[in-house]
Amino acid sequence: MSASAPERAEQVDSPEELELWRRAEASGDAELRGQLVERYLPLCRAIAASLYAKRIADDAEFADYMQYATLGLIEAVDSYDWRRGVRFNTFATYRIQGAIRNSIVNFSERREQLGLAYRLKKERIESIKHAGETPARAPRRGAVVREMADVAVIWALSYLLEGSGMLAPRGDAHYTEQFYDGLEMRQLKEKLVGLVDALPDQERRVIKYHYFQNLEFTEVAKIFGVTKGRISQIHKRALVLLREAHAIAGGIDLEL
Amino acid sequence: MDPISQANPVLDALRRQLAENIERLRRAGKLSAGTRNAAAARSPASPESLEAALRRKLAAIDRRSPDGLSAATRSFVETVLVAEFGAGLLTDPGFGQLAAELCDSLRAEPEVREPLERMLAEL
Repeated sequence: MSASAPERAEQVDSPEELELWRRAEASGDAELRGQLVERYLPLCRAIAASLYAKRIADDAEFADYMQYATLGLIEAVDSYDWRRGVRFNTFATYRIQGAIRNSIVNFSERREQLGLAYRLKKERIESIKHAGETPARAPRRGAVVREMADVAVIWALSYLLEGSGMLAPRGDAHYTEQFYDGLEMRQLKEKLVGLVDALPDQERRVIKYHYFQNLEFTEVAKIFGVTKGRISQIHKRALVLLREAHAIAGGIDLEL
Repeated sequence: MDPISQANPVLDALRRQLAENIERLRRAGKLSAGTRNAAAARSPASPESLEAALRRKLAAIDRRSPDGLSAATRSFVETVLVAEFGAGLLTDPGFGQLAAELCDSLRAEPEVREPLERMLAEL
């Protein structure tokens, strides 16, 4: 039986999406590829949440499901052929589900989970431990105090964003907070997560991939088509700008 | 290493973009005037006032004792975070955890610990 017109319409991607796929393929532009990945992140989150809700063991956290889902999405973007007339959502759903299931099956040891958290933290520290401006020689004490304060604040921002993928979107069934956080800490974290959207494009995307999707710098570098070192630089700059955004918006509440 | 310089033309351009984006979010209704003092929020503690606050706090700590520099680091971290994010954090149970983790991380990195302890000893 053939599908009716509205049903057929739902089986193909919108003209806007198809145009994006055409342009990405024709140009080979990493930026357009990144836009495609970002466009489908909500799908990724929905699939990860669905499988996480049906999990039969607690050896992996939601953040792990999100990471594997995002990697599955990236593979789907790279292998999708829009000419075949299959909607990307349909094509990607199977691949994202497969990526999560395969990874979770291979993920039986808690050590691997700790390994990811350790790697993520280590590369953040490497990226930000020289957050301040380094004086050439014999710096004034005030300059040293400021530089050390810069390092501490940028470092704190990284801690505050850690696990923030669980904060967004609010109202999500998987919204969680650190059990020891009170109102002030929760509001600060929510404000910072909201201010990520104010960052310039490149910085915003690096923060979202790394902190919200739990991708390592190497994986983010593959999406951007640049080196891991470059991502590390953008990450540090993003935290510096996020600090400034917080200072500018300090007297402003986010409508969450 | 890629030091973040305050006089960096790329960073200046990104700062302009940041300000525009904040304004765009505000116009879109995603930001609204808050209850905190905006002027105070936009004026983070100057290096001098931060240094003065640190001196006051550190005066009560014997930095030559075995745990002196560890206690001084904790005091430094708490002072800096409160200057940056507001004194409201002091009443939050999560703040102690954040400060403790931050102290441990800073002290675990020799490149940071050494200049930090030197600064704390000299203040």
